[in-house]
Amino acid sequence: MVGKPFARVVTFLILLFLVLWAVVELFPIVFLYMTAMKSDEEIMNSVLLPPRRPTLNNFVLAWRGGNLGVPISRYFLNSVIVTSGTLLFLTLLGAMAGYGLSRYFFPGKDFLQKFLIFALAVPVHATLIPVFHFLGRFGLRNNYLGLIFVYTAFWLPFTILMLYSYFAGFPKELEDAAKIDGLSDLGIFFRIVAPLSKGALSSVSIVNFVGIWSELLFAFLIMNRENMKTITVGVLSFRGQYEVQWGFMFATMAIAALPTIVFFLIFQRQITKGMLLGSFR
Amino acid sequence: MRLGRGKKGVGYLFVLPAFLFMAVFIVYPLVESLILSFYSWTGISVKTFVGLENFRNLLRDRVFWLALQNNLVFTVLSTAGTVILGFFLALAVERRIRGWWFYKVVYFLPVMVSMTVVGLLWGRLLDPTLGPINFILRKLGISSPPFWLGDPRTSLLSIIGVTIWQYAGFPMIILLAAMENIPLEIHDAATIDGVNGWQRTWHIIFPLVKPVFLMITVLQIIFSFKVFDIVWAMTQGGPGDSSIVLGVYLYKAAFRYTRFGYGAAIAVAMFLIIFPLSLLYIRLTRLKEVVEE
Repeated sequence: MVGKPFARVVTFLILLFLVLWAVVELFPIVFLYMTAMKSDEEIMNSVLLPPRRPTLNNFVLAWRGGNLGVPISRYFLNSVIVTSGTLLFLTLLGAMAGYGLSRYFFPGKDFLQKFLIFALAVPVHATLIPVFHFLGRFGLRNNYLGLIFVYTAFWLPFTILMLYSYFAGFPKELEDAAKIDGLSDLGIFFRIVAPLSKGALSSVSIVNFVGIWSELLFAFLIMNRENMKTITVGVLSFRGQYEVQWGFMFATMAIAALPTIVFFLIFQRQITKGMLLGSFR
Repeated sequence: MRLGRGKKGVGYLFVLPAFLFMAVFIVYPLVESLILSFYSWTGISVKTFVGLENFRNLLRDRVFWLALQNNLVFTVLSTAGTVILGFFLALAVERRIRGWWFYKVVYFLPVMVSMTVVGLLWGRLLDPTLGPINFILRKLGISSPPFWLGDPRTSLLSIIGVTIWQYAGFPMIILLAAMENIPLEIHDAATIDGVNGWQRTWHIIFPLVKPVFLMITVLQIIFSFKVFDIVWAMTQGGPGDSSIVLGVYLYKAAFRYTRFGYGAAIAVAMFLIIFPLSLLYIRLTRLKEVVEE
């Protein structure tokens, strides 16, 4: 049989390909965390070697802001506020709309369904300039609410569609029973349906989290005051000014990248499943 | 058909808040952009109606065409790069060689890091003098390695390379899921028929994942026209305008040179390119069927 050795060679080549690409993919990320743990002196002297005496000094310095105006911890906090505020708002509005579409018939419903598809396809770029001026008029620039509103609106089409299809498959018998018990429609939704849908709601939120945390364009435009910047915008402002301080810069990047990496390692299944549709925004 | 409970009004109560939000933050600005594209406006002065002037200027604008061309180059190379590489990675992982699970996670990891951080990080990695890439190249005996982002000839290509590095894992994970969905019976039948690895790949696996392939391709094309973050983080469109793309040009025209009417015209052009592609993508993913049952 010629098959056996040939198959071995093929397996070996595939393994080689897998390992090589893994090295290519991992090197920059390993380099990021390695460099962030070196002193500036060591960064200059040994480029590729792992840190001899790993230190968290850069992280502490970046977190506290060191000799700079604004510490990374402030950017981080801003991102946490904006992201969690958006997720709260988005999930509430998205779940209500998805549920409403899946359960009720009313004039104009057809139009709203078509509208959802339309809204999903609109690129953010086409709305950038008016959104900027509009928020400015209402004092919502450099304001958490401003960015939360914009994110909510742009993530709604996807969220509604996902929850719509989920609620369409949610057993109606439960609701009928609750109806007999005298609960109002809103009561049924908030006290019966929503608590039982925690899984679906959090799955959608996990996918949304990744996109919202990393968003740059709107955040960059709307949050330009130093103490209001999100972390994505914040790391950008270190370019130029602190380019020479690699340790500091790498620590800020390492901190900025951490939440989504950790999230991925915990919620791999949900993220990879929802990605094809969720990354559309 | 009524579901037998609730008044019509209750339905509106559920859906209206969300739709009002989208009307205010998506529809209104979209219409406003369209209107603004017919005006000249610095942001503070009064808007003056200029008719099609902005669009006429756009068609004569060297930078606009350059940006569009860069978007096209970006589209072709990054789509080919990520999708083809992703397909082979998926094939390799699907073999379930020892450690396959680890590779799968590693390949997808960069997708999870924001494009901004990836762009900044690679900016340092590709630093002509201090960066590790050129450090390695010099060790390998290349005395004058490329300037990467500092050279107008290599800036765009460097950005595209980094994009492929970051996103190859994306088609990989989607195609892998599609491959794992192929019923085992099909593979078994092929084995009985004495099909070899090559035939299995191109006559069984590939045709079966083709619809998914198409979907990711369209998604990557859309992404390539929308791209902003990674270009902004790496070069801001420079040096010169060598790596400028439409998104960056829109930002610069409107917010750096405060030519908001002109920026709106670029926005309208981007809308005209991206919107139909997005509708096509929605059709391919059957997202539409979600609403129309």
